[in-house]
Amino acid sequence: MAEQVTSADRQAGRPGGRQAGAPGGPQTGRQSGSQVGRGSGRRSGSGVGRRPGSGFGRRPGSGSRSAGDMQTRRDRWLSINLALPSILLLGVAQLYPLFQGILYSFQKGKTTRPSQAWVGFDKYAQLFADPDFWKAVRFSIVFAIGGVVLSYLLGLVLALLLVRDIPMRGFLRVGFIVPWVIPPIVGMTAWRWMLQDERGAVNQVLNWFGVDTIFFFNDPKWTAVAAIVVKAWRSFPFMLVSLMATLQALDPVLDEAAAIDGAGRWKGFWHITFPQILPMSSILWVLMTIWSVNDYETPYLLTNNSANARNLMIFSFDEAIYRDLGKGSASAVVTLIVLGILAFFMLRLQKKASDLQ
Amino acid sequence: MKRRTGKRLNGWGIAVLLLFAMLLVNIPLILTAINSFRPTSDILHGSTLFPENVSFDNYRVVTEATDYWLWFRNSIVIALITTAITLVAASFAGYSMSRYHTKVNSVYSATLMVFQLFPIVLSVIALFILFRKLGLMNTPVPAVVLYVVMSLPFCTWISKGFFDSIPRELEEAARIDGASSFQAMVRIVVPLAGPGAAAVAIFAFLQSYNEYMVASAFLQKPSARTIPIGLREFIQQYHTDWGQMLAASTLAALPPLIMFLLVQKWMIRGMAAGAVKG
Repeated sequence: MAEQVTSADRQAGRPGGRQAGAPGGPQTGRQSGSQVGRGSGRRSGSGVGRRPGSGFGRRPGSGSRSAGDMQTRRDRWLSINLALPSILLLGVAQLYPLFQGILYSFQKGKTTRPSQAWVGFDKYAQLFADPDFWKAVRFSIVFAIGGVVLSYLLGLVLALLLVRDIPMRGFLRVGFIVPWVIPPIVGMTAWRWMLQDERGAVNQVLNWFGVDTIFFFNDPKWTAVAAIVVKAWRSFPFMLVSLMATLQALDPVLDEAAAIDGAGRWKGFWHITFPQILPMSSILWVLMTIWSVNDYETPYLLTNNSANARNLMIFSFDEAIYRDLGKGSASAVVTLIVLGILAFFMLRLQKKASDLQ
Repeated sequence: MKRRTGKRLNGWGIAVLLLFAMLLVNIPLILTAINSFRPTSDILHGSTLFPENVSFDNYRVVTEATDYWLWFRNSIVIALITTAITLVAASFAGYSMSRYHTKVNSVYSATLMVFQLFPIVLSVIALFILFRKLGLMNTPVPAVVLYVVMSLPFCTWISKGFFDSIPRELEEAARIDGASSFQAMVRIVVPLAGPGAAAVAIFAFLQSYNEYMVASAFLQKPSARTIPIGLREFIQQYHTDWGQMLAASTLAALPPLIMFLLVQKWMIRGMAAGAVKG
């Protein structure tokens, strides 16, 4: 019985709200009614529906009610206070800038003299009329999708290989995580150096294979390709570690049963393994997309702030701090809204995927 | 017998393939390190792949004639403060979300994803103006605040997932023996929290040590610069001196690499627990 509550609690706690509702069964009666359907049952104090001998079994005895009340109150106090530092910090660094940013987007101003006058939706109009804004939107989309797809595939393939019992596994795993660990400035500088004109390592290799030199940073198309590949290079370790963890938690019995039934390796993966890792995978897709759209450093440092590789972050920052505070703020607010919508739809997708399980 | 050997060879085959892939993946860093030991003239005119003369000149110039150590000190100070605060905040919040299902926590948990997607640019814009007014530019304060906030959602998620994997029965047993909630938390959970703490700490450290944009916005004075800004300086000022640039890069990559190697076992275990349970 105790396990039942614990696992339901665990499920219910997922970020983005898998609101599991009341854990059901005999425990429901024990809640004092004000809680949102989840509970460890330790909260009632009022003794409503407390049936001796049911449920927990390990509860401190049915003795003095006042001791239970004290416990509950202290629990609640502790719970609020433990979360408080985080909530305060997030308030200062996200809630305040959010409201302030929205205000700025309706005003004319510069960073040295913000809030000069109210101009309504003017800044938004200017923003949507700016071709550079749409260029930034396009690049953000391409960059994010390309990066997520590539890093996921790479991470998945490597994870499938690394969960097997092979020699040097620990060493290999650590080695693959390095791109994620080193500072972006180091990685981007190295790639920049490798991708430069004829002297760069990449072009030297290409030339050796008979391919003409590619001027990665002059051609917008190739700049995008380079940005995506480098982003995937930086991001795949995260996919790798998460997918390895997920794969290792799977029940091997299913795989063995499929193998006994004669399923080929590809069929086995597609019909048995993949559905099981789908919920986690969809979380990873959402997370990585969000992180990619919010990524200022990779395109900026890789291309040295080239106009070919400006995504929404770079555009908004540049606009707000160096040119038009109102327009830049509007751009940042629009980005947030778009990300919010994106996350909403992707989370619904993820919920569907995990419900199907 | 034959099947067994076959399987073993198969394992080694994959391992060798993966080793080759791993080296390929790390070529940027490997090339950086190798070429940092060549004089710049060699780098520009010779082939990038095979070094001829080995020299430590680049390192000598970087460590003696530039502000590298100043940048290093600034980076480490900010990173350590950020890590400490994030560790405390994320662990507390994660523990609370794992054990106490109050309304505050359910709201916070649901909005965690929202906080995760917040574009950092939006924070920087408003805080840039605010901190300027407050005279806090070029201090660690703006950087620490922003880095903590950037790490919190993910770290709290990991932390919660990790605490979920520690059975409640242990604390309940302690409570039956008379311990208060706080004592139960400290005596039972904290000693077990190693992997979770390692995951949170390394993530927060990497976030703050590696980060460029926030640092470049708030730490513009030369004396306040962190390593990422300093390295970028190299490209701008000494743009022909690739040798020194590569040497500085190699040096800069060492602290995160070393930290990661030290805690990687714990960190991966912590992340795994978070990923599976969360």
